[in-house]
Amino acid sequence: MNEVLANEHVTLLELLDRLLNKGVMIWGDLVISVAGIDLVYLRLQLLLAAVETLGRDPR
Amino acid sequence: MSTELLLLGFIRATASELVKQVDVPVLFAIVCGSSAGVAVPAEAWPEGLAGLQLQNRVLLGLNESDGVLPVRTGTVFGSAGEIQELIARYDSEIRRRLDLIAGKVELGLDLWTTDSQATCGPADGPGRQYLRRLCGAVADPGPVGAFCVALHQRLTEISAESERLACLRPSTVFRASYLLPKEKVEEFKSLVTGEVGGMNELGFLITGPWPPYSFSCLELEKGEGSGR
Repeated sequence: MNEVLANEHVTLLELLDRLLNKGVMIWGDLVISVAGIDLVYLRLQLLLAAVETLGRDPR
Repeated sequence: MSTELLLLGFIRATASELVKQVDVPVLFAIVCGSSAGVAVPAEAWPEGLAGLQLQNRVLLGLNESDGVLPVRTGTVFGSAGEIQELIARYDSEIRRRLDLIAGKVELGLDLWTTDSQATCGPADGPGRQYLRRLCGAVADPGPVGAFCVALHQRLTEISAESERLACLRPSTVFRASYLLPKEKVEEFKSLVTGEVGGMNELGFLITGPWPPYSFSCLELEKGEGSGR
């Protein structure tokens, strides 16, 4: 059957998914930098504010 | 002046000497109680994909030797003292989880199909339509879905733990991770090959062995004195 992606690409996706989404979560400052760019700079209180805002305005 | 530390994972304190056997000189262990954190100076760590692949290699080496709980990528501490403080507060939870994953590896399984009836299709068009198709696929998984459920059950029976994961591609019909004793890895592969091999419309990919990323399900919180 035709493969949508070559196996090594799928494995790379799997690696990224595990490294970025899995593992012990430590709440506090979290900086993820890929290729020299901070993709995520997160403080818990900012995340909570965003969810609260989302809850106020469903549109 | 303190150097920021990238925390890669936790190991048992008794295994802290194994860190020196991993071929990464900047790696060191911070022991506290019965656990230890494995860290590197953030400035000495390569950026981008190279850093991620090196992290995976380090964790794989540590897991091969004893067992490691990977910490989510990008977790930075201001000092070794902060890491010690964290371990001191959560030592018993970390140790309990380390004892559970010791001697085990994670394998991933990805099943996909070319039969568009068995999937919810690509995520093109309005999002609402896609979500409706997705809900329909969940409500009525069809024969392929039933096969996946049965296979997952059989694989779970030979695993210490298992977890179904979100599919990364539209053609994927099933994705899961399994925590397996090392001696069960070949049995797992044989089972998948035998079961899925007879299904013409299905393809599969087994990935790993991985460090137990999907089974390091601890959530810890830095102390108040640890903020930057």
